[in-house]
Parts: sequence; C-alpha cells; structure tokens
Amino acid sequence: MKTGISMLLLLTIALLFVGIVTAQSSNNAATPGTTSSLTQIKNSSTHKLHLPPNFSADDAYKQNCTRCHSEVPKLNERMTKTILRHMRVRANIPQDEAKAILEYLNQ
Amino acid sequence: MKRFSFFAALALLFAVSAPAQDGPQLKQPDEGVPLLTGFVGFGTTFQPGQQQLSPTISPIVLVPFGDKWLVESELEVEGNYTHTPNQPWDHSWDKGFEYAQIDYLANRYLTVVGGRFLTPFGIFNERLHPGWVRNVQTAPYITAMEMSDSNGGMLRGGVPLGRFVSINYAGFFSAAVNNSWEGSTRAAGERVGFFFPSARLEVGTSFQRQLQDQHVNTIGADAIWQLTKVPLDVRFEYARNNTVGSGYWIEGAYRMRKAPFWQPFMEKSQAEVRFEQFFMPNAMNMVAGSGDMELPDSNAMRVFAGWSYWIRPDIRTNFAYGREFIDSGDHNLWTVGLTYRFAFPLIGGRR
Repeated sequence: MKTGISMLLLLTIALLFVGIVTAQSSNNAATPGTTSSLTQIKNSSTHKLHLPPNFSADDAYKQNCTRCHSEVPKLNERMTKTILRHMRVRANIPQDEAKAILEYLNQ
Repeated sequence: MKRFSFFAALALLFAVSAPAQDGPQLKQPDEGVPLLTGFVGFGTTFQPGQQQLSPTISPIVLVPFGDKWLVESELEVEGNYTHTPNQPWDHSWDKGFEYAQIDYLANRYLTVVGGRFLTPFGIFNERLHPGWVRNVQTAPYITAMEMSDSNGGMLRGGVPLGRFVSINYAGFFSAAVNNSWEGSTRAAGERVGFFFPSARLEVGTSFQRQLQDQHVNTIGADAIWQLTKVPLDVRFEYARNNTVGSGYWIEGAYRMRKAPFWQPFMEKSQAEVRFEQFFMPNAMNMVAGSGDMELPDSNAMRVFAGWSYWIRPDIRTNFAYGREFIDSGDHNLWTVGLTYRFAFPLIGGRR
C-alpha cells in the first residue's frame, strides 16, 4: 500500500513538473500576436488571449462546461461573469479559456 | 507533509514565474455583480419498509471584487423526514457551510484559496455533489469515506499544454475544527487531473492523509469521458482507505436530443445508469470511528437506472429505479427528485 501511494505521488508530481516546464517553454517560444483563430471573437478588443491555434470559444465551452453540466441556464452578462469566476476556481479553468467561455455564453 | 510542501512550492514557483502572454483579443463585459445563486430541491426515496423525504435548500453567495478576488459561500440545509410502518414520521435537519472561502486569482494558472472549502478529492465532491448537477440523486457509497469539507488553505489551477493535454491541480492543507456547522479534520492532500481535449477524456488521481488520530491515507482515481460520436458521458471514481474500505462507481448518461421520436420531450431528456460497489476493509485493519460515515455494514453493490427531464434549463426532474445487493437483504430503491437552480443579482446587474 505504502509503495503504491509513493508511486502515485511521484507520478503525479513528475507529470505536474513536466507539464509546468513544457508550459513555460511553450510560453517563451510564443511570438506576440501569433495566429490563433478564435474564430468567433478574434475581432473584438481589450484582453489578449493565450490559446492553442484553431481553438474556438465553442471548444472552450464544450471542453470545460459540458463535462459536468448537461444544461447551463442563460444569465445576463454581468451575472455570467461572476458565475464564470466561481467556475474558474471550482473547475480549475485557465484564465484565457474562462474568457473564451464568457464570450461564448454572452453571444 | 514534506510531499505536500514540495507540491505547494512547485505551484508557487510556477505562479510567480508565469509570463504575460500575447494573442488574440476579445471584448469583455462590464464587471461581475454580486450574486445569490444555488438551488432548491426536493427528493424522495422509497424502499421496502421505509419512505424518506429530503427537502434541500442551498443558497450560494458570490461576491467578486477587483479583477482577482472572489468571496463565495454556500450554506446547505437538508431535511430528512423518514417514515417506517406503524411509526410516526421521524425528522431531522442537517445544516452546515459547504464552503465559505476567499479566492485570489494570482495569475492565469494559479488560484490561492483560504477558508472553508470542498475537499478536492475525486470528481464527485467538488463538481457533481449539487443536486441540480448530479445525475442520480443518491450519492455513491464511496463519497461517504471521502472528506467532504476542509478548513485551511489550497492552491489550485489549470495549465493547458497546447491542444494535446491540459493539467488541472489542487493541493490543500486542512486544520482540525470541531464545530457542527463547519467541522473538519486535520489533513493534507491533492488531486491532479489530465484532460485530453481531442479524446474529451479527463483522468485524475487523488491522495489525502489524515493527520490526526490514526494517520491514514486515502487514495483515489477518477475519469470523465465524453464520447464524440454519440452524446454519451461516462464518469468513474475509485477510492481506497485501508481502515474504512474501498469502492468505485461508474455512471453513463446519454442525452436523448437526437432521438428520432417524441422530439419535444426527448430533446430535454437524459437517460442514466450507475453501477457501484463497496468493499469492507480487511478485518485486521478495521478501526472504530468509521461508523458515522454512513457506509454499508458489509460488502455492497447497487445499480440504478434513471431518467432526467429539464422542464426549463434551470428546473430538472429526475426519477431512478435501483436495486441494492447487501448482506442485510437485497431490496429495491425508487428515487424521485425535483431541483430548481436560481440566480439573482444582489446589487444592480439586472441589465
């Protein structure tokens, strides 16, 4: 049992470390203003996003929200923004994906 | 404890070193508004010789301030009205804070949480426990052996690594609090999940160590898989604790919106099936004190088949038939539930 737990911990910590290092390298390699095609929102302004190429707001919604929610009631923009901040914490949603989801829900 | 410190240090290191990013741009609405949200639910469970009614109200207050802070709290009040033949109704009300926490969104990938929070173990406790989210009203056996609430601090967040995988993590420390409204155990633990977007699959592992009385570990694994070809979600969770037992549940939910008949009804419906097992611990490891965990007294198995129908996106009804196989006698279970999820702005925010 003890060995199993140690292995489990080591595995999760090692994967986390690899993830962090990879994320940092990929961040450093990113060119400002690179082409991500957030197709439905790329022409708007104010906040800059760091999302994979060809990643849509629809992807952000489907990949994060529908994992637990079958239906998401429609709320107004300011209420949705508060709910999104709550869900960003609860579901560990990265900031940029949360912003894309917000835009999707407010369309 | 050393392992937990290492985990926390890693997360902090990552937090302070995450650089600013450039990329596409998007318009954001006005500031968020303080909200009163939550749900009201009513559930009934019938089994031979017993009928149970469970009204529940769970108000949640969300107060954002600035760009990086959120104060959030959920109070859960749940009634248990039980009737057995030739006996008067017996009733009790359970009240307590599910969470009362302050969140600081340190950067894109890290949130620092302090206060009382839902313990990050597996997927049911944090994500699926609200009545309006869960598919079958009856909670799985193993959720009773997982610590549901903690008082202390937590670091958590999500890190996308391109389109291939996204990591989400949570590590916490909890102090012992002996209070009926907000009690908790001294413990530390973590959950790490790996989400593969192309497969729509998340797998996670959890660990927690109780740091009072008997120092025991609980380990867990979980998965959520959303099939892309058919509208089917599959969820799975496993937990093991040497002193109280082990078990798992697996659940499938099939959204009926593509059914070629009764379209108005089917597009708001979902069929659900859950299978679960609980295994008693080895007799040598059993300890006194696990008796208040509402776990079965023997090995047990339970299967449910259910149906949910959304009258509106915020009003859900569900019905499930189940059968439990247990030493004290196999029996049927029927559950019927209705939940209303509400959200109102506390100050302004009507527009």
